[in-house]
Amino acid sequence: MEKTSDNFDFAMVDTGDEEECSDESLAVNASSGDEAAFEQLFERHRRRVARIAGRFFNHSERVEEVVQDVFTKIYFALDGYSAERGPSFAAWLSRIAINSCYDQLRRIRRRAESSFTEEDGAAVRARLSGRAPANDMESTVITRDLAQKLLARLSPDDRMVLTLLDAQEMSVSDIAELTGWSVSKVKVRAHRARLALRRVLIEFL
Amino acid sequence: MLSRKKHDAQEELDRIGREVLRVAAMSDEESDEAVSSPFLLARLRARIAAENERREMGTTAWLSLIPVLRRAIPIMILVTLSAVGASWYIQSVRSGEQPATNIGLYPDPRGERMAPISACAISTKDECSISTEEVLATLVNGERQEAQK
Repeated sequence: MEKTSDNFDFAMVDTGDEEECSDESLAVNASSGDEAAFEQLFERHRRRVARIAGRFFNHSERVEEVVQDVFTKIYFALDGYSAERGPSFAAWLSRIAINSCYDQLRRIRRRAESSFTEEDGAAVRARLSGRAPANDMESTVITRDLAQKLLARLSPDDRMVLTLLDAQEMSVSDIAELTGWSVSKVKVRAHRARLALRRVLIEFL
Repeated sequence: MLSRKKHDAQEELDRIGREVLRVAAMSDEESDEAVSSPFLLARLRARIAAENERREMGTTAWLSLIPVLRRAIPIMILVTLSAVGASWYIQSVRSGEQPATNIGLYPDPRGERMAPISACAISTKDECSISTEEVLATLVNGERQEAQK
């Protein structure tokens, strides 16, 4: 996971014309109504949130939707945030981002937009085995769409755990910290998710 | 041998699964591109303003209920009090009424009519009791009637 601002703690260092503040002091200022401080937090962290969302979704509109959702939640939750009592701002932000992605996954699942057919399965098989051209942009987009449709067959919990483990390459303890689950729960969930993914792959590939 | 094959098959499925998950994700560059719009902050501000308005509407909706409640609560208290009063009045009127006389329905001696009996028939009060003279008179009358027959 990206570690851009976790140790970003050079509070109020004078760097010429502009002052650099820590995330925590910006959060304090933003919670007291300083719009510029909030804007600075947004500029600093929007890519972090977008990269988390990009692991789950393949459409830029949806990634932007998650980013907006996360920063709106943060705007209204800043009053309750305290770096002394809880995690760093970046960790807190990541947790909100993961929860927002999870909510989106559940919404997608409810709309049942997945309609993965046997032809789609054949196409994914061909692309994964390298028989189809995979170097051009269009081909990448098609493969990604197919993979997303396949993954939409998993439950949101399974998909979240597998994405964090395999796409985001996070450790079990990091996932436990982010989701608020216990380490053993993450392990059990991951095991079940792998079984579910195997079943989906056997069915369609 | 069989379990080895099964294990290999599972390994292969897991490898494909990881590949599918990797392929389904956007690259970091694409994710960065998705939030590079200069209007994103403006859209976020609009969303925050809308959310703020929605929250304030929720609060003012509660506040607008206060005048309604101020009128409704006294009326509801009045209605409740009048219902309790009416109930209490009806109960007191009923308890003030004479108890129902113990009127039973005795079969008529002729077997056709049902005749009410008086309260004295089953009362133990002195004024209702039959005197010794009445008993004797009844007995004498009965004997006379038999003698005449």
